[in-house]
Amino acid sequence: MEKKLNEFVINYFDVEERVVNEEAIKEISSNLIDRYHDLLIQGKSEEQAYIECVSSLGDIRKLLTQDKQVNASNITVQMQVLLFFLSSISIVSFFFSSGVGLGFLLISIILFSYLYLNIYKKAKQGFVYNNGISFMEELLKLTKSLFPLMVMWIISASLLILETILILFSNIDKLIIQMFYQSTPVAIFFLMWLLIFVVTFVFVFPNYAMVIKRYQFISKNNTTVFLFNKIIDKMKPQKYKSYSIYKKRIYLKYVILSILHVFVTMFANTKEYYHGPIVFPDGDIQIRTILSDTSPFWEKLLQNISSFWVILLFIILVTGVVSFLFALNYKPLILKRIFLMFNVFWLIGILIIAISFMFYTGVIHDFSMVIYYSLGIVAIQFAFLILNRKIKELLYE
Amino acid sequence: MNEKKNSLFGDLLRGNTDKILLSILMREDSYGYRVNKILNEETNHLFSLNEATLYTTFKRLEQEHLIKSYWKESENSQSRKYYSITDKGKEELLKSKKEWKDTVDIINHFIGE
Repeated sequence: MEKKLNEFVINYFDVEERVVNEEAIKEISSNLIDRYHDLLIQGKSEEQAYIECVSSLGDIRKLLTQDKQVNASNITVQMQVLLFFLSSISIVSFFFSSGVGLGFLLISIILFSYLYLNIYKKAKQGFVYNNGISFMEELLKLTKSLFPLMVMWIISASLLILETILILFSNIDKLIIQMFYQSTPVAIFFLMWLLIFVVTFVFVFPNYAMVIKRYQFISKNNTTVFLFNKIIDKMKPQKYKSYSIYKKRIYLKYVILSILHVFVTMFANTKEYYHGPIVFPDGDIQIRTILSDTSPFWEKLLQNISSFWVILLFIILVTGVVSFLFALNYKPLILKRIFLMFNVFWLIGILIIAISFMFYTGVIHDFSMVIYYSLGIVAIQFAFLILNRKIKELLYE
Repeated sequence: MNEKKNSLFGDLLRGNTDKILLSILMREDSYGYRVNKILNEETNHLFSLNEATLYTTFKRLEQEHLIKSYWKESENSQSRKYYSITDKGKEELLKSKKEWKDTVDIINHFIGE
């Protein structure tokens, strides 16, 4: 019977509400079990006691929903920003590792579809947010953001195809490519990337699930309280003040990141291919294309400033920045300066640890890798932090 | 056993649920069902709260830092969420005791004996 009571409380909530209300469910069912035992002592039959317990529940869901009415409309914006980030990282990664690029590409596509389907479902049922915005409007915004995202995905996909064709049909020796991937520092580097990737994924993914569940949860609120919250929001102009400070910081960070990206690409492009005869140890001479690194570094760097790839990357990054700023300007966010400070210190800390580790392991022999690696971490953590703070705000405030 | 609807008595009590719960927690740390039981017994079964009200009241009090909670396992290994009153909660209770006294004085003056 205890199990039955517990199940009753669990089933009282929709599947997506269960995660958010896990503790409430545990507490309420423990209270009900106590009540049940008490009723048995009082001489009630099991059946009677069960019915009495269940009827004492009251309208928990309504109360819990009211309890958690918070501004949720910015989640879509956060997700969109994150998607832009992931998609641009995906493109950038392809110049360096197609595996990582493909990973980012797939993650952004899957996330977008998941987000889109969730909002679509709610929009069809006519749900409204706590700030009065309907899910239909949200869906429209999301659809608009699909276009730049699609452009990025197409670029990523074409790079993937191009790279595959190059490897399969060009005269670049497959052996050399294999050797490149098998060298120890590179292997360590890939392992570290993988580790960071897995760790971030483990941290981020449950939060995504939470956000999406939370989404559905909030959408069940009634409109009166939504409007009330809207009025309250208007009465607090200081929120907008802190938002403008936050926005300036974000702009600065993003601009710095973009400049760094362009420089990194220039560094990365200092590699050159040698195409010509190679003498093998057994005396055989063949025409091969291999990676060569002979000409002076600065000379190559200067050559690369006009390189097609740098220009392309620059365009991609500019579109990234613009779309990011657009996404930010959808709605003002409520943000805290303390968290931003923490954010900055944390990022710097992680970078220092990562770079010193790379020095230690010897991966440092390729400087562009270090910067790429650092930037990858910055981008992921940055996006992760934005999202995480928002989640904390939503769940615990 | 239900909250009496449409009665001034019930409304008045419900309006003071916070104070009542705080004063029960003032005696000792306790969990939801026990608090409700004390409430029920000491009002001669005239008043008790349903799970939803109880839960949300505790939650609100916790958010206001008037009480704090912790999980504890009983002898039959059933885990219960215990609540204990904070210093801020104690202050709040003292304050509302005074307020209550003033209110009762005023009401007594007009409609009391």
